[in-house]
Amino acid sequence: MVTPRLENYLRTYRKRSGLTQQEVGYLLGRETGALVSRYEKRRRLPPLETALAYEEIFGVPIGELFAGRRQAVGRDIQKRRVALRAGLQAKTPKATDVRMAAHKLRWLADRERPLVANQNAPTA
Amino acid sequence: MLALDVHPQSFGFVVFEGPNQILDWGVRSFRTGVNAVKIPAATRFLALLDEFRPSAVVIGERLARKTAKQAKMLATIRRQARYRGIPVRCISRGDVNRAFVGFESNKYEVASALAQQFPDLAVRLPPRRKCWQSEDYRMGIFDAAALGVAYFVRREKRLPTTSVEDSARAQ
Repeated sequence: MVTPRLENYLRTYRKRSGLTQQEVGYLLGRETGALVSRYEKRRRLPPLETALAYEEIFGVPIGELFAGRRQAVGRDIQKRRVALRAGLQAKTPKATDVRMAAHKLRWLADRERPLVANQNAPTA
Repeated sequence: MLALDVHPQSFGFVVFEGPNQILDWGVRSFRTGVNAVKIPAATRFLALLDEFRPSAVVIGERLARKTAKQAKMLATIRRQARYRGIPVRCISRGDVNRAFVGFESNKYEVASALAQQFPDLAVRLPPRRKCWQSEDYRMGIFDAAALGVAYFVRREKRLPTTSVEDSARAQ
């Protein structure tokens, strides 16, 4: 069973760095730390550019910074992957598409394993 | 797991993710008077519960010298944790000393050991206090961390921890 993790670890990594919310806000190109607070409290989800900026600031991969969100996305993808594979298996491909269908099924089967990194970390 | 060190006008807290990783730490004040903090202690505690959704809340067992404010705060902790289905566990000073064998001579020794174990806390370690000085407010963080470590040590050894109800009955 996958241990649930916090949606994001922005506060943890900021506190480890010793930076204030205002200082992180400045690094993100903001006037204040208000938005940083909202991201840390999970009241807002940062846009992709901000998430990449966080990765750059803390030197931690996005998947680790947003571990909980990453887990949730991984679970959804896994469900849809299984459904897609079942759908492809149920469909009889045309003679010209047999090789491509087999390739897709093999590719999907290869990826039917948990994708989330550090998923065994204990919970809070 | 959320470890709390409750004082009459503040509480120190440390949020653990397993025995070797801390997620958040700090001191929340609810002092009164000229520089009164407007946000009530309960609100600050609830913010921690909602943000981290801990699997347990660990508090110190203070049988003696419990002030009315501390009692009120502990009652809030117990009520809100129960409402969210989070168990509240009490750790005695003896449990902390047993978890820090060799460092149990005073709180500063324990805090120094914690600063080594968790380098993130090292910058918050106050200087050793002189006998005429009052305790630095940052010691609340280290006291809470010590409770957390003692809780994990007891859990690792499969020793039972006292629930807050048992602790209240003992008083």
